[in-house]
Amino acid sequence: MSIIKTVISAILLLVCTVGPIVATLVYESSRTRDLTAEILARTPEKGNFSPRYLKVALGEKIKLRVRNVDTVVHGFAIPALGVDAGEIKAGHYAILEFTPEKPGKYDYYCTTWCSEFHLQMRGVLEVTAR
Amino acid sequence: MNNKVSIAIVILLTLGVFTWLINYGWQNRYGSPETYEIIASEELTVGYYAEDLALKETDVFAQIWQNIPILKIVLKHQITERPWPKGLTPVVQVQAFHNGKDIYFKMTWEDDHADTIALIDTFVDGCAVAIPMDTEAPLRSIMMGFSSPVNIWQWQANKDMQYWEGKTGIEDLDVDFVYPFEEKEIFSVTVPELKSAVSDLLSQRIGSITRKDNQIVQGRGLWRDGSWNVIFKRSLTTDNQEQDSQFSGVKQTVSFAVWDGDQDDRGSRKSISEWVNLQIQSLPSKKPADEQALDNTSNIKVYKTSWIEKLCSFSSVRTAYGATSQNQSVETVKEPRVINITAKRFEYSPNRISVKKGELITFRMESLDVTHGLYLDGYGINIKARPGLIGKATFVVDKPGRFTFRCSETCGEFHPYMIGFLEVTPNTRFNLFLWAIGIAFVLMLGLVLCRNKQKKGVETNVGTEQ
Amino acid sequence: MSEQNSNNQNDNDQKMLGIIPLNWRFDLASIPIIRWMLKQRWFPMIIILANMFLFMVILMSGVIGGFSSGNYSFGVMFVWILWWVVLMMLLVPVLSRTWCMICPLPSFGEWLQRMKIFGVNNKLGGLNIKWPKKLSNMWIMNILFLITTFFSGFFTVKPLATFFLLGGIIVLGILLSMVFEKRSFCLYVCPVSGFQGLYSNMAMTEIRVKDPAICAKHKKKTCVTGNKKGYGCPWLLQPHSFKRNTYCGMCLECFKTCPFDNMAFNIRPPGTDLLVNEQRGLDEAWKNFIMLAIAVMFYVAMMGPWGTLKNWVRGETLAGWLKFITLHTTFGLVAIPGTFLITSWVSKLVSGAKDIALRTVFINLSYCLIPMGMAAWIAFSFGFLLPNGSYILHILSDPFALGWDLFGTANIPWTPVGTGWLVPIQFAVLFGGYIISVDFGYKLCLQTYGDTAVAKRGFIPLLVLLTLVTVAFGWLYGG
Repeated sequence: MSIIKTVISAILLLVCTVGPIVATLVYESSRTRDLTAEILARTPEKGNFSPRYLKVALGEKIKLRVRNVDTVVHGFAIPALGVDAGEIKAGHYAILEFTPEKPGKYDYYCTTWCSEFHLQMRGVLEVTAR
Repeated sequence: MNNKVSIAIVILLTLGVFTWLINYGWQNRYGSPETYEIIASEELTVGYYAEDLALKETDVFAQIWQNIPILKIVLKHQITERPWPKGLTPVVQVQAFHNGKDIYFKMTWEDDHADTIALIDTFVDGCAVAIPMDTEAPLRSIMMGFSSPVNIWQWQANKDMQYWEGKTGIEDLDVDFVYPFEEKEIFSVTVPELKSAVSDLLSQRIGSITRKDNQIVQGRGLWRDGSWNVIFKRSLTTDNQEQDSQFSGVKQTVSFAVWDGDQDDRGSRKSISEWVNLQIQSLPSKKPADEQALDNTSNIKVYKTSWIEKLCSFSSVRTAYGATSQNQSVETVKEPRVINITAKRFEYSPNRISVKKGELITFRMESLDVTHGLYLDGYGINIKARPGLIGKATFVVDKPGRFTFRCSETCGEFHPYMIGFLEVTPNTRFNLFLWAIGIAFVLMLGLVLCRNKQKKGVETNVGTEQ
Repeated sequence: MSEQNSNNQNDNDQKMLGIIPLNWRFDLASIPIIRWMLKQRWFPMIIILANMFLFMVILMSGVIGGFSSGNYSFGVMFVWILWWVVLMMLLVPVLSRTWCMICPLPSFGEWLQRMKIFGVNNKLGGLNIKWPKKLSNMWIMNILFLITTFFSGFFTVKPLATFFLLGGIIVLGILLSMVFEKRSFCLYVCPVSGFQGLYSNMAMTEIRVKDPAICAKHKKKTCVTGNKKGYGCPWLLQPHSFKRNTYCGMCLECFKTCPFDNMAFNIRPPGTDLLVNEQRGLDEAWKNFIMLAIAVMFYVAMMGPWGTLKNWVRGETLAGWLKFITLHTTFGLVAIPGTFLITSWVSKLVSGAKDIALRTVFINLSYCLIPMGMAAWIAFSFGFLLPNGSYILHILSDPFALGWDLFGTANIPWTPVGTGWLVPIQFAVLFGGYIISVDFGYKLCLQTYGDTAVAKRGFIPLLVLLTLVTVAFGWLYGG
């Protein structure tokens, strides 16, 4: 009887302490399995886009998740590919799916004035031919 | 002893884990540890050369340009305001010099086709230099400027053809502003007399671009071997400090833009540069230092006037912005009283606004840094102001009292505390509160003073074993 | 029953506002199912565990949320919008120190002492050193709480800072429970504990004995020593004879250890403990002043329109931040107590009482600030809850800003609710606090001065002060 009690106590303790951590990791990894990449949007002084360089192969369907982890409004767009996520508010995210047709280097930018250094907030998506 | 060891282990372990977590959290406080080094503004030296160019065709390739250092500037898509460009002119080469009287800029960029004829769906090549009116302007201005008005010199290939060679394609109507304008803004369609291949413009904020009364910038462009070469010329200083940018000090900032007609660039569809610092070399011997200082102070005096007044002094903008709060009372009563609010992290200016109940007011809000909002308690009014755009709301203040307005667009970590007060007088709510307190005060005082019971009895300790 | 308060009080004065008799009680534990529950070993531990789950999410969102915007961070919003507000508006004023009953923060330390979660093990681990007598008061908590508020510009907006605060409390709890006995940490150190202790004197619930006579006969005092069914009071009290809520953490162990079922969980009129003259002291008086000062300072910094002050508070420059803490500290530790000292002095002067020390007057009368301070805090909390409450819906569905939508509420935008009524609500709360304060102020005067005529004279300066303070708060919140 006391063993059962001990086991129940231990399970409850684990569920309530380690539980949330494990659950979060499992749930999040299942949600992000098919992402090509995740791009974090921060103002340049807080680290700029992360990553700022992405390389993908031509013909692949690209699925990006852009997360605004900052305290101001950002945006995300690749004008040369006609890709636009519009405004992404602080604490929000955008999912973008597209397939580039030509190889090349495409700039991606923040589209909302977010800091004095807003114009430096950009990265490069390189699409390489097979 | 064993007990003490295990206690020590627990304590060390706890401290260790906590320190590690704090360190991890600090590294990842912006989502990832990746950092970015801010690229400093580039420097463009404006050297002194005793050379006077008359803008003849040969002057575009005059010997002098061989001697002046070239600054290669990387351009980017203008993507902050719609519509966006589709293509990009990646690099522009810039040179500049002055001869004590005039300042010259030369912009050179690759373009495999010269587009010089403007039709309904055909667009021309062009380029522009933007100079903030305020020498102390912070870098936080976009092309059209919002913390300082900007003086824009825009060269267009069709105007160049028309002005220098007398060739006209189609009658030029000077309308290519497609921004969201304020309501009821008067928008003139003109065929201006061409005085130059360069339009001399002023603007502060998107949608406020204005042709100046006197066009004093000259320019000429030539397309040769797959490249455009454009030079600009203007006097260093002018008499009109209100409307013309002045190159009187040592420092000035500029930025550049290029339009490629092939790629349907026009208006906001362009490639732009970041701000570039100008280092203006002084004349070899003339101009004593204190005279320069004098120039500076006179500049500062000008910039004390607020931007709205400055804008109101521009002729064609006056109709749009003329209704300021001062001249309101003279005019009809039904016009709303305009309250101009500027928002920057984390304060509104003015932060306390007092109005009378029943007034018709317009909140006209401008942001000085990032996107801000304004939500007014009780009235449910929500305004959003992106940098460079005005947010407006007109309403009747029919509820008396003090109402809080708060930022409604996350603008930084103190965003929830970005607050201002609107006081709609008379503040009947507060008066009621004061009356209630007053009456309660008198009642309590009366009750206590009039109580005559002097009963002495055994006290019972209230609140315990009863 | 002490000497000082064994003076005259007529029947009317034992009634709150002359209506509700202060000795009215209803024992919730007289309902069999509740009594059964309170006596179970799994209660309240099961709530603590559930709470622990929640706090793990809060802590995680601070560290791996990787997210710099406070208003979309689970930790920041949950702690400062929900927890703090619920604490101020419901838990403390109504349920006394119920938060301490379900607080998971010291549990790690306690489990390490006990090496058991549900079971009983009265041989506690750790060094079990007695807490020093000199520090057995509220001063440490006063200072720590004041220091915590120095950083309010960080804690309430930065997820990592919130983590640092909560994690720091947990770590300190573990360290101190390894060194000192039982819940010394909760009693004398935890910054959240002090104001709960003081303000729970206003609460509408209490844990007391049913019949003191039974306890008097009970020689073993199992509520102190512990037995097979439960631990001896972890809060180092004598449950058989305590009279005020201040230091009772409501852990419910005494319900389990009492062999006579003599403990009661009472519902009572608010504020009865304010009149209990036991363990009163300058530490508690200063707690009062600090709480008032913080209410003012928080309002001015967080809900005022003054950007300069906000820049000071958020530490934009070190000099500005130092200005803020100097101002804040002077206001709380000197200005408010000074004002109150003058009032007490005038009160004593006007009353004509000669044989009562000014110190006694000062300490006793300070307790009438509790309803006032509580009202100011409740009113302040409305200013948090109404405009920003809707963030809670968002963060519940998306706690780590990873784009989750657990409950389908992630897309609810920021929506202020009823903010048009914010100021009238605040006025109403302040008015209520004023009336209760004045009521207890008079009762405290009677208790202090003894004679009714003397007390009446001594009461007038206090009434004037309370009125002015209320008007000042009213002006601040909506004038």
